[in-house]
Amino acid sequence: MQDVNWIALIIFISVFGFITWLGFAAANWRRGDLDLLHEWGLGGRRFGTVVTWFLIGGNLYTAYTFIAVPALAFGAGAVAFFAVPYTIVAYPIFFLVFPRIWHVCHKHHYITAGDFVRGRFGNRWLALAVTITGIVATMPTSPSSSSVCRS
Amino acid sequence: MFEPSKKRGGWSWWYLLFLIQFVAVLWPPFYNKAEPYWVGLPFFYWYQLLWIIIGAVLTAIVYFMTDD
Repeated sequence: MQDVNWIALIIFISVFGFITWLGFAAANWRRGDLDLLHEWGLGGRRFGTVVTWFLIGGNLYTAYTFIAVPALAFGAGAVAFFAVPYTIVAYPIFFLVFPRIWHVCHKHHYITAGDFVRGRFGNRWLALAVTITGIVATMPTSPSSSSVCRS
Repeated sequence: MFEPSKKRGGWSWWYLLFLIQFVAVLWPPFYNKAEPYWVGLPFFYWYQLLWIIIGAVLTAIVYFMTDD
């Protein structure tokens, strides 16, 4: 037992316990009817600015950011810093595009990007292609791609 | 709660401010060097980290200037 890093262990258990408690507490916070798809998928579109800020931030700080990018930096060096310009460029684009998408999604009750594409372009095959692309693209990173329609 | 009634539609010239940070970080020859160091960090690293802050400031400027 002398090899145990007590500080790291205590921090890990504390954070793990807190997050677990937070998860159960959040389940009862502003409870919605989970039989409704927009309640289950989008939090009833009731997330405010602050929650949405954390949500979009959470889209950035993923396992990819914490494991894959540092691994690339460790293995290949400075090339891993592509992630920084990529983020600097991506977020202004979100800034320009997301509020408009949100507006349209809210008005027409779209939930996913597929709904939006189908409503906007009227082509269910295009919607299917976008949905499959979204699922495949989401697999390595895991945050929900539908967060754009929340708040 | 986010109030969507204020529609932020249309084009604004303020959006061109974003081009500054795009150009600054998308052309690596601008910052592909070690000198000058800042608190031990090579230029390549602190330049990019600095542009995160500048980018946030530019985004805030665009936000408030297009918020009518």
